[in-house]
Amino acid sequence: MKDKIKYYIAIVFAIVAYTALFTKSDYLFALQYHSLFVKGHIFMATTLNNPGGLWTWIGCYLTQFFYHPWLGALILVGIWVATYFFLSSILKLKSYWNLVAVFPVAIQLFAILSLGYYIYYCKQPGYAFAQATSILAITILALIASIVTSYFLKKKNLSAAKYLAIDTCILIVATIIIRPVFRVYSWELPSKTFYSELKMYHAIDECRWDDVLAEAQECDNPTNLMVIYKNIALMHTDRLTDMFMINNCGTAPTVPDSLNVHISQLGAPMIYYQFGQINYAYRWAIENSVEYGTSINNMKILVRCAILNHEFDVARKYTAILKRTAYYRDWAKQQEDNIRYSSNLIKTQEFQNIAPLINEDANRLDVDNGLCEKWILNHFSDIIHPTSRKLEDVIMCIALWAEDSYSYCIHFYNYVNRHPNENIPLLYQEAAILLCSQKESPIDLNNYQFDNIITDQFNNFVRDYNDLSKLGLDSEEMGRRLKPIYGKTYWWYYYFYTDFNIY
Amino acid sequence: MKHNIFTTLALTVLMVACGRPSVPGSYTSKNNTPNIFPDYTDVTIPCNIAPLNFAVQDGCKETVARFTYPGGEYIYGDGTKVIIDEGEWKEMLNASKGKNIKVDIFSNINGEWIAYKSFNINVAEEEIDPYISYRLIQPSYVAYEGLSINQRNITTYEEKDIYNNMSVSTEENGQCINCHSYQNFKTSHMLFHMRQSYGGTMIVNGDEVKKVDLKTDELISAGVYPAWHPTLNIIAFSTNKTGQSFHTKDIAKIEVQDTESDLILYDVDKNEVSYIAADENELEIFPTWSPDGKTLYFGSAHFVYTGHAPSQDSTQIDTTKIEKETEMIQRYKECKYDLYKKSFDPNTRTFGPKELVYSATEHNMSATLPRISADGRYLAFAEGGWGCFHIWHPEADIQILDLKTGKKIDTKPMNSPRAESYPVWSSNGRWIMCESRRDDGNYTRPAIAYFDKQGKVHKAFELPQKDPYFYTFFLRSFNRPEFMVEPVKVSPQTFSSVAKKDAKKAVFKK
Repeated sequence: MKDKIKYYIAIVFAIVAYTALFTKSDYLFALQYHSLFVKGHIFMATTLNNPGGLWTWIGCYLTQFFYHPWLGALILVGIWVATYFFLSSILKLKSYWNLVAVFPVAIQLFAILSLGYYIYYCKQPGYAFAQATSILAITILALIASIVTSYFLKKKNLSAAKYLAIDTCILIVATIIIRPVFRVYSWELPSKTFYSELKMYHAIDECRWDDVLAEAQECDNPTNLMVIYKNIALMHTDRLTDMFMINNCGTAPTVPDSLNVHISQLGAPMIYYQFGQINYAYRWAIENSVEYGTSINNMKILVRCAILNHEFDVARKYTAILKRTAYYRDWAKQQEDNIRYSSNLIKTQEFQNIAPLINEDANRLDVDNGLCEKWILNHFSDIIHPTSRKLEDVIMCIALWAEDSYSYCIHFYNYVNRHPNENIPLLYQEAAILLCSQKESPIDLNNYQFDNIITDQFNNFVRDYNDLSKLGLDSEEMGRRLKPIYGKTYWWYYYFYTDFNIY
Repeated sequence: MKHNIFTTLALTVLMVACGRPSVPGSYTSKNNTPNIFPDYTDVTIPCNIAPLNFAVQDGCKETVARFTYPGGEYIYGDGTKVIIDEGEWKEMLNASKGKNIKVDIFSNINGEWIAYKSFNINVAEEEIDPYISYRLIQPSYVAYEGLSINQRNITTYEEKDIYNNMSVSTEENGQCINCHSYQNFKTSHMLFHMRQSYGGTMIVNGDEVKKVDLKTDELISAGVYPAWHPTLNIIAFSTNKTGQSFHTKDIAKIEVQDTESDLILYDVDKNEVSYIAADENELEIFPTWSPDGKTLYFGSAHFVYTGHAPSQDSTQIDTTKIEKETEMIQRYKECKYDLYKKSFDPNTRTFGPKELVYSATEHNMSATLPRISADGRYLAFAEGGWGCFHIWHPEADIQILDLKTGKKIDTKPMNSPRAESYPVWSSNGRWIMCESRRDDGNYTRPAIAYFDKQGKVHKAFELPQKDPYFYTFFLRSFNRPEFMVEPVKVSPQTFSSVAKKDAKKAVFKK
């Protein structure tokens, strides 16, 4: 019975660990996406050249298998269970004392689950497996040493306590020799929005726009990043004028510890890419690779940017690397086909989404100061001569998103003149009717005719707003009360979204 | 009987494993030379360089290369790669000095062998300096992590760290390292900079290794781009206020700009700095000494700040006040450098007046990074459309000015359609090495060209690597390649321990 407890503990731990990991499949997928393993001796030599390089190399190799979260989780749990048994054997644990051997692997499980935003900032490539395998190596080394030592000490008839002391010393020495890659980055579990961001990013990467929007709609308190992702999905499905229909009020994420998160690291390369800012996307993919390690994620962005920039030789360099990975070979070959046959490229959904956003304006020098969101909002608000219909909508909507009334008025004026016989989208009317009364308006919008329904609704809004003001309510309370009726209008966003913190 | 079978089998396996490929019996001849990577067709190489391994890139599954040299021939082939035995390569080079090695390539494409037009590898009689050093860095913009300054024995493939920033920096406190420089190709007197964490300038002065801080209240920055005097224990530096900004569309991607820069002289023994040039309307940069140490060459851009934004309407003046950084960003294409020199008296350690050597602005271009050949006759430099950081300018090329005739030499054979920058001469003046982005436009590789006694530039070749695909899979740039006649003897550990110490403050001397 006592021996069976050892196995029961292992089974319970394996089930708990596997379930905990597998239920976070988007997170596991993201782990491999932020790692890179390239077959061949050049990658190996480069990796081994760094401190802890062997564990990094092994860790990166095994991290690939998180591409199939069930498989990666299975391998990881397998390593942990093996570690548990080896540890139990070294320390000669009996019965419930085997729980002691669970502790080191349970900490590893927690360390991975609590990694959260450190996934973007962790400088240990292949983190999850690097620590698991290095600790497994320690236990194997210690077990071998323990068996050999026990063999020689048997004749001296030592007590169990002395054996335990000797084995513990062996374990410590093995730990010093192996120097495990181990660190718990955070002692708090990440928030729900963190997982939503990962899920949305994964969907954007695969142009699954409906999935992006579905995730956005499920969240009442999105982060700025989620708002950007949501708007990218709307932009590429020509529904950007619905921007305020789905919560557009982003907040800074809840981040444990003292970590400062910035969108530059969280998603800038993809965001810039999706907005057609190819150079800036390329730049941040490189910067993040330098600081936090080369990853599949960044490598794919680099390929995409290089192709759109017509830098085909460097694109081929990156595809050559991706062709030596386990799971991105086909994607790389597809990109090579796009390089070879530009007719294929222009038919791709990605190209059709992004090409209209690459404005044919003159090149200019600029600096984003690491604030991707701010730069996107300013840059698009400032475009005066959009060269595509899609870009026209983007600059209008972004001016509203940024609450840049001045730019919006100019864009509205240009828009109406460019499309004199078309219906003006409701959002644009909503904004224009609001801005008619703004002092900073460079153009008098009072002469425009707006749909009656908009005019009526706006009058109602003004009336309700004034009524609540007379009650002496603060802005937050007014916003809360008006949200059920006007929460999906630009007016509500304009007056009550005050928590716009760029990070 | 069994024993015999096993022996035969073992011998067969051994023979296959050790056997050389053979030239195919039948093949179709082609009129063109093969597409090989790196491109070593018809290059001129030093007689002491490491083997020029390459890969054939014609979609073949198998390739065979026959090297015919005055002493015979060798045949190689390893899939699509041609990996040359180091001993045999040396034998070929020794026998081919002043002559050439003929290379015939045979490729098996879809089961059919084809033979390409043969090409030559010309072997010069002159050797090249056996060591080079460079900084390995991802082609990043602002970020730095995992930087190292490495030295490579180019007669073999041996490469070692000189210094690695990961040995002192932590995640929170990164350290940038740059601008390694040597006195007259020797490593007993050398330096490199460290910025941010544990910042300072590491100086090797004979047996002494020290860290100094060259920033004084009088200077706009610490020493930046260095040039160690060929015989004296003094170093000329530029001091620079450098910024970076990013192109929204241009594939140049980035501009590295100085808003202010001057030239200073640092006395290593006295730990004193003094001005060489500090004109408010001039951006002086990239000093370099003539081999006799009697002239200091440098680049300088005449740039007068207006303090106002350039007006969209040429008939009006925009009165908006702007900072220097903003103005430089807005007028970046106006910042063009010419090359100048100042005479130097080694006895009094005084400089003469500034003299124009080469006016790039006359051709609406910008010239930087001057370097003088060993005989003092030729001035190599990088020339691009504007600015000083030409490795980010795709149109930038290496130019060489014959100071005797005042005419430029044809440097097309060493340039490519992509960016070339940072030219350096070997100690014997027969080899010019530069940074080149010829492979893909983004990653910098060292390229070396032969400069013959008649002053003619030959086709450049990329620094050979053991694996021909090394450059494809290697994600770092080779920055600031410099020749050395000997390896750096100070260990990386010594540099690390000195780096962690406080820097000794330099004193400003009027």
